[in-house]
Amino acid sequence: MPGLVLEVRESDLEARRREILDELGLGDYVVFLERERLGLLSDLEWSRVDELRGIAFLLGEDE
Amino acid sequence: MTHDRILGQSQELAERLTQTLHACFPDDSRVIALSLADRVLIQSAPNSAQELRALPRPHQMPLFVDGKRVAEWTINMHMVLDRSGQFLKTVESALVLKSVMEKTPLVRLEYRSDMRTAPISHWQFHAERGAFSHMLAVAHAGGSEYVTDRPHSLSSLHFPVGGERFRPSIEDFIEFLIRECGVDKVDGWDQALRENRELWRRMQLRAAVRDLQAEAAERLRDEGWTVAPPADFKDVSDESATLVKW
Repeated sequence: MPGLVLEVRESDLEARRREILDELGLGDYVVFLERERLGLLSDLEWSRVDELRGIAFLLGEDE
Repeated sequence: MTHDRILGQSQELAERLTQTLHACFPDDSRVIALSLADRVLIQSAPNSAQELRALPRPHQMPLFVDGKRVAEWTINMHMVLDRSGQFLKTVESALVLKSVMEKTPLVRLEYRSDMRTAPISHWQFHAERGAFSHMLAVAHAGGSEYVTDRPHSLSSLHFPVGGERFRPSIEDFIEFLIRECGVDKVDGWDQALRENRELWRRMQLRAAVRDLQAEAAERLRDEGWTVAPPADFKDVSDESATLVKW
């Protein structure tokens, strides 16, 4: 099977997160986390939950 | 562990999951691994002959009924090195089912090893049931110590499913989609799932034996085996979080 692994760069992850947050009209990832905690996510925000969590994980922000 | 080994294990896992997908669904989606330092993110991706280059977006894998696309699902797994530093282990995962009609999930099967209050492995149902909300609202209004602070929302509940060791596998989720939801499958799907489920459960059993070495040895002696502990054995099973966390 061809290569299924991609080494990514921090700068690409941060740029993608900024793009998503802009799309959602949110200034910061912390705002998104708080909206998630309070159960306030919109339909569009739900579509980005796992991608945002994945980016934060790769950036080591869960430590 | 060398970075090459991390990449090798990631490739192996992505291949195995991709083969499972292709053995079960009439869809050519695949599973890929994104890596940064010693962290690996496993996620679903569209199939493509092109080499992986730019940062790929998570892919909604289509589910069909009689050839009509009715739903989508995704795989996400966060992996880090285990205590031995030799193998990747999952610290978070989410299997998510959505309708094509909206982006809010129908159900989520989640695992988060660092979960503080909710069960570390759980189902979330994005549904409504008046009688359930009534029960929760009464508890909430009565000042119950533990009830959800969103009694109107069934999705705020986390239904526990076996903790770290005995949680459902991806194969269980796929079989749920096929057998309970009636989505299109390919011939031979059940055999592929049985083989991979057996692999998963054997791995989980090995981990459970590692948690409970003295009990495992005692059980083997009951069966006629001769088992002796290593000289430096110390039973720390009472301290094992995997046995007590919900």
